[in-house]
Amino acid sequence: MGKSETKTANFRKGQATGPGSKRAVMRGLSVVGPFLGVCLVVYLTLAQTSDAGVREHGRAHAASSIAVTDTAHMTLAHNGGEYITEEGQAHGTIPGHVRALLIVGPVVRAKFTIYANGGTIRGEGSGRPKGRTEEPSFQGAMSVSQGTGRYKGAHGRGSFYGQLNLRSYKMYVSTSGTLYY
Amino acid sequence: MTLLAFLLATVGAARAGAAELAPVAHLHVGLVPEELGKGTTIEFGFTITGAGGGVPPPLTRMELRYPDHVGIVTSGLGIASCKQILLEEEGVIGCPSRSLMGYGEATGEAVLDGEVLEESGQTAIFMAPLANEQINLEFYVNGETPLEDQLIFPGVLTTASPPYGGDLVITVPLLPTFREGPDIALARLHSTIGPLGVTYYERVHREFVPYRPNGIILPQSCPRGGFPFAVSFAFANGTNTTSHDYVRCPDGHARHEAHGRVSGRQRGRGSARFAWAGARAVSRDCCDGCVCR
Repeated sequence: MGKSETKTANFRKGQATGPGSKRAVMRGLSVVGPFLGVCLVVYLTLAQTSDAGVREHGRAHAASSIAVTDTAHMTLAHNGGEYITEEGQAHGTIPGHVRALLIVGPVVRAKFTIYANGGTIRGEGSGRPKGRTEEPSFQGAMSVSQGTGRYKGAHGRGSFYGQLNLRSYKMYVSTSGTLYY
Repeated sequence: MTLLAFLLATVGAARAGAAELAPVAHLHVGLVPEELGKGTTIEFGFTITGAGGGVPPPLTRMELRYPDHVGIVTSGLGIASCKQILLEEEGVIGCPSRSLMGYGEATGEAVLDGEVLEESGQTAIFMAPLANEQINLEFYVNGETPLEDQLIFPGVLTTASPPYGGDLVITVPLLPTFREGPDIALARLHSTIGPLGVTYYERVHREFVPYRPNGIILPQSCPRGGFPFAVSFAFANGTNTTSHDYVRCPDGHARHEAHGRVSGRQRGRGSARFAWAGARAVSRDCCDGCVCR
């Protein structure tokens, strides 16, 4: 299991100070006072907006990127013809109960949900069969497009390998990829 | 007449000629039994006649499209595979029982000295090893009379656009009646894909125990208009033809039925036509030291 977190820092604009005597400053103020007043209002307005933007920006990029490697042994929950539902327990980076809807045709398509601690992760993938006829394997690309709870806004990409026994409908799945949330 | 006009006229005439020469095919399909959410066997058959009602041109390619959401891969059928070389060397006996997916009979025709020669034979569909990330099949024909010959055509299961869920594509080589004789044309075929009349054997400890595979699981709901099937043919003379059929929704699901053409039917279970039992293909399973119940 590997985990690397990246967080953006909140940068604040520095305040510039200039040299000069108090009198000179007062004289300057009398000349540029009104201008500075306007500038101060503009600055404060901008600063407020900027701070809000930085906070929002910071929140958006405070997401973790996690290298995920999970495996699951699953069994048949429902056989609906071309659609079969498999359930099991995922182990690895994000453990939890996993439920997958498979469309098993010339191409195997899978939509899965991992009910992990604190939230759910949803994604899908597809692959073409190969290997043994009785227990074909399929591998391909997968993507995570949804999440809830602590995984709200989760997204990511990776690959998966699956093996489905067409007699017992037992399935083994292995996934790896990067998840952002 | 300009050159372009001449070419267009020539192409048009050629197309019209080809259309006139296109054979006519009639597909008929049944589901036995037809219970939504349950396993079934697809019984299909077709006849092909020449444009004038005579012998059709030889077939080079056949595509059978089956409905979307029908679970052929999850049917429990064809969970073992039979290599082409086994079929060639040993016939159906050489194949594992669990590779048999269906069987039937075919009739070919050829015109010889002005007379129509008929050749009939039994057919079987076997699952072949997965290759090129595709589900492969072997279509086996055991010619009986008058020409005794075994023929094997490769097939592949591919995706199809809705309302179809898959496409069984079979490439058919030209089959001469004899050396330098006319090629045989496929005129009729009746076959099953499913567990009807098929017995599988699985090894439990040291015994081979028979069982019947689940069958092709139908979806829980019937599509509007019934379950659609289609068969397309390509012929050696360059013509093509397609035929469609629908299996009506079972009773109680009439709300889904279409107003259009619905010509599906359900034949009796265990038709004598399909009596060529899959049980013949079990010897490979019953190996030395094992007992078949």
